[in-house]
Amino acid sequence: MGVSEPDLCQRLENFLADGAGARAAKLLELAPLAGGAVQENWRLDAELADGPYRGRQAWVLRATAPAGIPNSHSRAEEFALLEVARAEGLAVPKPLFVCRDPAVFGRDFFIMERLAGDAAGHRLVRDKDLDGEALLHRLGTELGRLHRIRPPRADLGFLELPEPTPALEAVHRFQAQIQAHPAPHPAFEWGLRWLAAHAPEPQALVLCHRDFRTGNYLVAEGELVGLLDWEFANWSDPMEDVGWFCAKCWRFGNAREAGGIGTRDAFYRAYEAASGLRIQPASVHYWEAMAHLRWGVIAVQQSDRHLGGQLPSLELALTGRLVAEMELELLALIDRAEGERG
Amino acid sequence: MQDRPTASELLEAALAAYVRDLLPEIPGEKRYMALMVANALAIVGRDLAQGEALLQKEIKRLQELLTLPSSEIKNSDLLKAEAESLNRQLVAQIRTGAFDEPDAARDLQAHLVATTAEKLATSNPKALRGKEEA
Repeated sequence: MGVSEPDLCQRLENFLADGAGARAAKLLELAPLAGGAVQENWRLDAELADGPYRGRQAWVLRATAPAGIPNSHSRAEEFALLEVARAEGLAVPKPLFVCRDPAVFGRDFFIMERLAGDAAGHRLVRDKDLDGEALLHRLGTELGRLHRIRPPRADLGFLELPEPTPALEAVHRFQAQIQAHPAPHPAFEWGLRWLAAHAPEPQALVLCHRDFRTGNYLVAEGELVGLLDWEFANWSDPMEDVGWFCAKCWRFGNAREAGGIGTRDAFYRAYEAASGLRIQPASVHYWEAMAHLRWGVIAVQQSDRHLGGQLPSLELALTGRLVAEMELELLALIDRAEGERG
Repeated sequence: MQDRPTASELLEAALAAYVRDLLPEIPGEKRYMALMVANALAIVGRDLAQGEALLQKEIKRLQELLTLPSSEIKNSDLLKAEAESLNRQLVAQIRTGAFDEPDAARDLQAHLVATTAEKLATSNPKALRGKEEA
């Protein structure tokens, strides 16, 4: 797929011109961007004839990938989440136009501005020049501001409140997915048993990103540029985002506990100041255990996409062999929590 | 009977040639894929070398945990089916709360840690050593 397909090109140009209030749009480039195992991101350059976006524009087309992962929002919903985050002053790419007509691109998509910078986690955690503590201050502040958004919100009416609690809803969802899977997963079953018995009550329900981690934010010259991938956002326990961010599986092999880039202290202090909430260490620990379970279940599903023939890929196949890493850390976190309990 | 090299020996030779002679020639944009191929072949090699022995150990532990009579399975085709069947029984018992009491929980936890570590000894020995960069 690319600008070489005349029909697709024409349909996209019509859509862009219409959305941008221009007489005409010319598609200059359309090429896949790296990353986005769940959704597809395309680099899109266009030239608008007139209107508010006159001239050459650097945009991203974000489309729903075929054979996606369950529990994620539609592109129109993700678009609405970006609009809310943007209105609250968070560092997110500006959402521009959403397309619900599958005739244009084959599936729904939206257009957003393309930000400079690099999101690759494995490069970020090895960057010797990076001031991790300063970046964590920014990230903690952004997350804290996000968590000031509380239900109910008419513009986020498609989100559902977790029942009975965020932790128990997650436990029930993963239990259903693991129990429906043809292979037995004793470590996950035991993890779920433990997570069900130790589910915390949230101190508040807030808008959680639910994929807020190294690898999902753009950094340029050491500065935070934008928070990406809002497809899983929902009302939840604020400690879910904190636990996900600090979980070992998102440190990219680095020992630094906050996202592989610095100390929990720097992240926590900025977060508490911006959110008005308290960090609850036992709750964060719980959500870190949940993070490894969640990642492990996703790894099983990703590997199934290869094994089932929906998307043959060596990368997805190897993801199936990552499951044991998630199991080992899940078990270690349970062990540590039990040890502290005595 | 097949002539030597064995499957393991042949794989080892192929992997060594691939890593030594081909990998350095592979251009940047294909390098990630090339490393994944080397990783997959290395996993297969370790699986061939130790997979059966590890499965035997797992079965033995499962039989103890489930208080079943221990039986040694010689037929390698039956090993996987036996392990799967025992793991199904284990999962059923976990769901009914058979391991909720502290002593049972400790035994189960120890078994699961051992099994997971054995899986990683094949799939990613580096993760097992807890190798992290400072």
